[in-house]
Amino acid sequence: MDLYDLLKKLQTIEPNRDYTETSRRVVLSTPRVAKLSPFRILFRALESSAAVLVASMLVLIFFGGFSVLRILTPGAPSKTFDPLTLRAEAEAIDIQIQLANLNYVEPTEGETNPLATLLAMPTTTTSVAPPETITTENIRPEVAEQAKDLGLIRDNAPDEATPPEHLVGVDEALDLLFE
Amino acid sequence: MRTALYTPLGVTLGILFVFQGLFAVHAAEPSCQFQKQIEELAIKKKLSGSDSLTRIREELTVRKNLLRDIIDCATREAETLKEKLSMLTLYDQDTARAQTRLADELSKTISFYGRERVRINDVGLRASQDTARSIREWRRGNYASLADQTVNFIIWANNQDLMKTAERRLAELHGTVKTVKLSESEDIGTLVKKAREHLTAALSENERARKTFIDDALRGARNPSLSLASIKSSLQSLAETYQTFFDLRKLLKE
Repeated sequence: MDLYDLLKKLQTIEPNRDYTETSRRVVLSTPRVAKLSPFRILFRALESSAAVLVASMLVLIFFGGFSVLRILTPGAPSKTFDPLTLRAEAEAIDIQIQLANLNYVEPTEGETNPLATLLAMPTTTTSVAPPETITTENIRPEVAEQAKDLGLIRDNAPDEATPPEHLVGVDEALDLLFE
Repeated sequence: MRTALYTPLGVTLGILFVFQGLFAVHAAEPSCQFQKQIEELAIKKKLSGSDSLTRIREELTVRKNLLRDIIDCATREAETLKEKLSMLTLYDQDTARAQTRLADELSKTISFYGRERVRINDVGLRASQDTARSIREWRRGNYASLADQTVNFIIWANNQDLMKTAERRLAELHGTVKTVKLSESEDIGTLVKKAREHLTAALSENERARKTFIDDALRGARNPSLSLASIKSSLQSLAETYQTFFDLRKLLKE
């Protein structure tokens, strides 16, 4: 066989089919290593920070109590005179007063809270009407929630229809058990 | 670009999912009302058709289950208070010591309930009544004042930020009034003075409540009515301070 025939034969040579399959799989499964330039590192850091920031803002907006516009508005009025801020702080005090009043029932009779009437008014009005007496009937929902957690008011009955006078709590049930 | 859009959305949804899960766990807690079980016990007691031994056995089973549920509920009650207590941030060592003391006493209560729950397994009808009496007496003589004092302490601790905010507001208000020379107005000057007096009274009663907690912790005593009176008085004065802030605001607007 001369050299020309040999070269012609080489043209028809094919790789082993199994080997081709295996090597293709190996090449495809190897992760591509990206070149890490300083610019790319900076870009990734910025990308992650922006993702966390956007997520935090979305959560804050979702749960309310956060006004982006208010924060971003230049020349926002001083918080000292901002009726909304003052009102929010007064409401926080009112919640604490109601919680304290719920701890013992007796001293609340006739006792007055100067903020109770004020908070029932629009923020632009500041005149004071005769103060009202705080009772368990007119407590705010956020107070009721905290009062339940602290054991100051009864948990609701399993079937909400049970009237309060028929509720049997821990102490009443214990009394009935040793009678 | 896609990653930049999807990542915050994914993180947000993840956080909301965790919150939703927490609320679901909270909602799943059993109620602490026992009227249905008490009615069931009354029915078992009145059963006249069945023989005496079966009736006693059935009544005992209802009693034991009810006692276990009551103890579980009372334990949860004490654990919740202990958890709320541990979540407070206190800035001085003396009040932190009072907090630790209350937490220790709540732990003792939780241990007591645990021991009583184990005892239920072996009790008969008579002993189950004695267990109920013993738990009731513990609650009346020990837990009631402990719970009151702990609740007062929690309310007091949560008042501290309100006191600081009011102090800051008054300082800002005073600064503003001084800067724009508004204090020359007699009405404004009087109102600023009034606000300061109310806040001083609030801070003084607030300090009195703090001392009551510290003294009680040192002496191993509990005076919930004393601490509560001071807390109420301090909150009342704080409310009057804010009433004056609103009055001042109205006057400044004119």
